[in-house]
Amino acid sequence: MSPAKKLQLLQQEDLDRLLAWLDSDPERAGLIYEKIRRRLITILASRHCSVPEELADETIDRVARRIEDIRDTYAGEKALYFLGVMNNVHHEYLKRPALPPRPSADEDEGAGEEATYLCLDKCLDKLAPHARRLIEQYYAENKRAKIDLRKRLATEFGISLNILRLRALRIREKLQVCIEECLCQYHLR
Amino acid sequence: MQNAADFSDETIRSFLLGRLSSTEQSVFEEQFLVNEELEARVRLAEFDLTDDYAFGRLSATDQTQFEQTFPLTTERKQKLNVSTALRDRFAPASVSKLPMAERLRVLVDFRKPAWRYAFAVLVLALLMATAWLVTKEPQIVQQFLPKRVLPKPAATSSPEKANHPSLSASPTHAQQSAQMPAHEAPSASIVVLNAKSTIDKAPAVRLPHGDNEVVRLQLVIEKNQARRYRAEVLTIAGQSIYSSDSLTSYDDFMVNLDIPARLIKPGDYQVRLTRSTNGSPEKVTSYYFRVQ
Repeated sequence: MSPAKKLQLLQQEDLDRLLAWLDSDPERAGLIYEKIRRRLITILASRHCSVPEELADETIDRVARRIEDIRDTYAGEKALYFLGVMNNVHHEYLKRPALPPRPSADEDEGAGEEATYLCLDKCLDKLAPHARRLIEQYYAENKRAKIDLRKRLATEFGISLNILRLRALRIREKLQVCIEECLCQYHLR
Repeated sequence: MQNAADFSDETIRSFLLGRLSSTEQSVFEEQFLVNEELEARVRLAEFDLTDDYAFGRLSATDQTQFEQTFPLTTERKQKLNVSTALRDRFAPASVSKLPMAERLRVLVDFRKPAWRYAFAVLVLALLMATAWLVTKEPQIVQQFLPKRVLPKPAATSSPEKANHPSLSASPTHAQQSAQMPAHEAPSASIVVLNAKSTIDKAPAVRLPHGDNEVVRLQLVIEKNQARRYRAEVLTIAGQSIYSSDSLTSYDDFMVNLDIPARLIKPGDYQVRLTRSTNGSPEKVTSYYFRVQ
């Protein structure tokens, strides 16, 4: 067996062990894995780390490789174990010489933007009429008029300003998910 | 253990912009990893923040921190793209708050599908209008088609005669005229010079503009004593600027002298007229004129 193949097999075994440690149900374990990864990325970004996704994956790899050692002894929130490992990874990252910033893929930006506009229209059409109306009005006004408009909207919908904001942001979140799925399909075509 | 309500919206935004103190950051990170409610609030706060950025609602400081901290992940970049698309889709009013250059960039972004469709519709409309014009209104189309141009008449072999039929001899002028079409022939300022005029009472000549213009001096002679004359134009200081040989009289009392206008500058001039008698030159008289 080639070293690369052996490494790949080991990594897969590590990952399986990690998922089994996170939850006995593989589906739930997958969700927990994604959740932890996303949160690690958010934390690393808030620490001004320029490669949060890379460090989050490095953290998860390290945890996966240690599962054998900690599985029977670690007690407490498993997510916090990731935080401890992430601190080490981040610490090492800070000691490394700074890398030049990666060039952004400008040539793809135009096509990406166009696809985003198309997907936005598609996903807006999928919204329920009241949700679409709410989102249209929520985003329609500028900063000065925003507060007045949102008060009026909240009154119209019979909810508080805070609830209005949460509703709008949840619709916004749905839109985001819908647009990302739409973009995946768009790029697969 | 803290719950999500212990963290204000402002604290969440500060976390996202990376400006919590190290102590606050540690506490927040721990809660963020284990508290579902806080994680949900942070997720929504991310949308709020990207929207505020895209709609130009952040202060200058927040904007700088956002640019440094926020769009570092693929997911966040996608959020920002959607916020920008929402802004362009729903908030023309907010666009007017952006700087002029950014507003123009947003409004005249030809990559937007709307612009592409608009151009496609415009091209289609133009094609249809052209087709309609050609079929229904041929007389309008005729106006745009080039008319056949009749060939210009060829220049005569003796243009000096065509332009100045009565001029018997004017070599310099004749050469210029021969190269020019009839409608572009040089125009002349004509002045009659009398031999009795002194320098004080010299007639004034208005200098025409243009390289091809000429000043025609009609030199009055007492009687036609010779067949050929020579005229020389000099400045008052005696510097010769132009001369012409083989001039003949016109109706026995006048000799025409054409001087290219480009040779003359404002000032006083003298014209010396000589005649050829038995092969030797003989002074006839002098004339004076003033150029303005």
